[in-house]
Amino acid sequence: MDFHQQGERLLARYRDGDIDRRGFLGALGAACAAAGLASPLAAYAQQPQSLRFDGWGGVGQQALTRHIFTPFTERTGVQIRQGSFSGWEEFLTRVRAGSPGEYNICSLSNLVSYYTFTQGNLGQALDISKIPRFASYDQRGLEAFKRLSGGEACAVPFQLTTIGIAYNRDKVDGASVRQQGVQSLLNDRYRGRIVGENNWLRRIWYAALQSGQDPNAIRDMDAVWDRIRQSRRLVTKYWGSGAEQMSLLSNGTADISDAWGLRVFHLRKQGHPIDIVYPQGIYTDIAGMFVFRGTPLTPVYEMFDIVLREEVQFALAEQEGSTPLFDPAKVDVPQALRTTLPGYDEEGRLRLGVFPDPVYWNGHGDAWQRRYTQVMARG
Amino acid sequence: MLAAPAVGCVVAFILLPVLAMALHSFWLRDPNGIVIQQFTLTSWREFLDDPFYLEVLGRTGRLAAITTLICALVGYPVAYTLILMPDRFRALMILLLFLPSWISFVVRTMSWLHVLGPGGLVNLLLRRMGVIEEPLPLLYNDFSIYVGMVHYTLTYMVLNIYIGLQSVDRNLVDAARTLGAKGWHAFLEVTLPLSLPGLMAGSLLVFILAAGTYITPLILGGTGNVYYSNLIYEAVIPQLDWPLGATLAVVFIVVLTAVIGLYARLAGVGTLFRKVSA
Amino acid sequence: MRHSRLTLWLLGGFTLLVYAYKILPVFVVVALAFNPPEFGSFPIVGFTTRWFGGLLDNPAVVTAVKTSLRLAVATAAIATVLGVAAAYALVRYPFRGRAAVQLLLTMPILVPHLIVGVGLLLAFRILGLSRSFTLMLLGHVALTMPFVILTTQHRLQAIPLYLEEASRTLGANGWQTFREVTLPLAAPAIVTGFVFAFMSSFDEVTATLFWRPANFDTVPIYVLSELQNSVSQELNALAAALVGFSVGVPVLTMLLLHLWTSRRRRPARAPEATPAWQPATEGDAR
Repeated sequence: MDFHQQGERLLARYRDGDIDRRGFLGALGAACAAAGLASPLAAYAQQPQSLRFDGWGGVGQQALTRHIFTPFTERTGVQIRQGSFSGWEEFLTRVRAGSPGEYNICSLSNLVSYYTFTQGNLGQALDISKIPRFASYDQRGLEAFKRLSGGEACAVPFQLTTIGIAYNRDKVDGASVRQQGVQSLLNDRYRGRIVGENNWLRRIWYAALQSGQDPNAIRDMDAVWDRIRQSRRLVTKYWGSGAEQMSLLSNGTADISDAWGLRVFHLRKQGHPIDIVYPQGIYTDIAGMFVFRGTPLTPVYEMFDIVLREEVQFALAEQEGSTPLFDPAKVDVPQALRTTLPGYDEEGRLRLGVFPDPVYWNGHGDAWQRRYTQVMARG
Repeated sequence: MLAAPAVGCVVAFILLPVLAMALHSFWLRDPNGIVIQQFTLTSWREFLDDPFYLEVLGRTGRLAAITTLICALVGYPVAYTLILMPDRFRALMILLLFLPSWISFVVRTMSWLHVLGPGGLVNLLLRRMGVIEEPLPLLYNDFSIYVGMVHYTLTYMVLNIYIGLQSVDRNLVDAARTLGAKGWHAFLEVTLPLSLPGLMAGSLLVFILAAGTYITPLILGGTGNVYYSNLIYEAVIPQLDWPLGATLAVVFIVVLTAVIGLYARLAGVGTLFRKVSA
Repeated sequence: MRHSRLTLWLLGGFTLLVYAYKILPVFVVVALAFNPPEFGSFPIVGFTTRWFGGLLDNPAVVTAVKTSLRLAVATAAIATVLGVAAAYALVRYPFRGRAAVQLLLTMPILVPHLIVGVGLLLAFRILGLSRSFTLMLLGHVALTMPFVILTTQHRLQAIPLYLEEASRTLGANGWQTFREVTLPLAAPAIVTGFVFAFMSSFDEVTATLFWRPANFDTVPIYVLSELQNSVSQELNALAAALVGFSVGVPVLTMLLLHLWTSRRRRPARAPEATPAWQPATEGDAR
């Protein structure tokens, strides 16, 4: 315990520029020797043989291995040890319970998790000028990250996450959904055929829109809980995973649902009659890769050099449906992707909804999450 | 000491971790979800002040009890049939009980969507046969939860009763018949009491497993089907509130320990009964 | 035990129904695994084996299956040895604090796996240990041991003490008595305990998620990460393959065993002491 604290302090001083790299490593080595054990921190003292990457697993991560990790290992000789998680909260729980220095890079799914990670002092500040390829990306994501961590960003934002309202075009009138927007999720006509995501933040978000409020500055929470109760009476099932969402929309249980653009992309690819609309004010988020404190940066920059290549991002887009956050003025998105990929319009411009304000949501998280659980359980 | 390695293993890998977590229930948590090692009763007060937690605990007890009851009623005749079978068939039948376990729990649970859903097997068959016009609402309600829960726990019940029944001395049953006891009478007077320990062990196991499940209600339950283990999960993972999660877990463990205490008393009575009749 | 024909029919019919219910998910998954549409659902529109083709080409799946089998076999073996020893001690030797030991050994099934999962990580951190296969294996042993103990214990209780005493009187020592008398009599329960331990280790996901070292995927963890996307046909095929394997191996073992025993004369021993399924279930675990 003492040793870890000592190591942490050293690390903090090193990062603050209090001691130089050589002094840091020397002191760390001494501390290791004094503690008489081979701690994970000792790994910092050496040139890395390997880096650890944690992502969503499954076919998505296999695609990352093919397009990014394998070429990276060939180029640098640094191996990638892989792990996977089923959600960022679960991953954070593991990081907090684990030893410092165990993790290097992870998939970052949204702004709120970025904020929570950096508030927990888990991030490693990056020098974006060392990643020249990032210049061709939309810089708004990076600005948001910098603001949240109060200085340098600890992650590279290069993908867009979209949510919309998906419906079965054979059963539901698309024109009416387009016109009603989020209100269609409360339309009594679809009772018993509506499903939705079981997530406190997003349910509150939709309820805020439904009660005519700005989701990032809600004044009337009673109206929000009221809408959630109303939704609860109409909805057959609140789903919790991508698999459930896909199966509900494809097996005839549901005709309309709030849905992830990515999932709808896959459903459409498989030929299901599902359309999606993106109403005013709908939730959008930023995804990328996060770098943990104590990770040696030279190989990290080399990896990002591969990650951010146009051909890599286009390949991932085509296979996985992830939307690269390119600056359309600098990168010409292929015509085929413009029409199919969530987040782009026909002209190849990014179609941004509203980003959540992590400070706001984190501040209310505790109280709202608990209230949400109770409202969902009891009505 | 024969039990020492087992005890050591459980102490190191279960008891110590649980104590480490239990300690968290008395610690403070900052708004970012980071635990500060400073004594506080915040989480315990929250648990005691909000009737919601006890309400859900009661709900969970009911779910587990009903699951256990169904399992016992369904499982006993099956175990009894297994005993009557010739050895070769019995081996196959027991093996079949384990067959579904090879499919990962989540996939197995989700397979009920294909059976009970509006376009699922049951509705498809009934509609083809012309019994119904509109699909029956078989999914996302109490019915589908019990279908999943009993499916998961039944094996434990059947095999425990089966092992219990094996211990019954068949000569005793035959003796009872010779002395004039009629079929059902012999069963109720001799076989059932003698197989009680197996039934009790199975019930205890099923009750505990059912009380701890959270994936089954999550996938097969409808709106509002929230149970105690779901609350523990929500506190620890999405809410990142380890102190509250630890508090809920400690209560859960204490309640189940009390159930075991109750069981020990009842099982004690069972053993006594057996000695008398033997 | 004699029963009227009607009772037997009723019992048999009921059991058949219960088995249909028990096997239904297997049927669904296997049927869907041969269905051509990319997103598995009813009705069945054709027949294809192409979903299985992808499995063997996918190194992640192959590794996950191997890892799971290795972990589950090792877990079940250790848990059975430790569990039977503990059960024997609990039943045969009255000692101080027996009730407390009993409760302690039941504890692993009472505790939510999530709590043990996080708690053990905290304990690792305090002790400065990093995650490894051995630590995870021992964790699995602790989690699955109660199944062995609970199933073995009341079987042991039912073995009359005079049998063991007679054996000792005839000059056998403690170990010989255990091996020659107690073990064969308790065998069905022990094998059941082994299978329970094997299956619950094979299916454990929550605690494993927290304990596993890097580059370590078991089948349930692989399935969980695939479920981010959908219940793909590949998952159905994987499940179907595992089911086929688990049926195929024991059936083959039983057949061989049958040939072997019918060539030698059948031993005239009490049937339930060595049930026919014992070697079979051990075989399927290998």
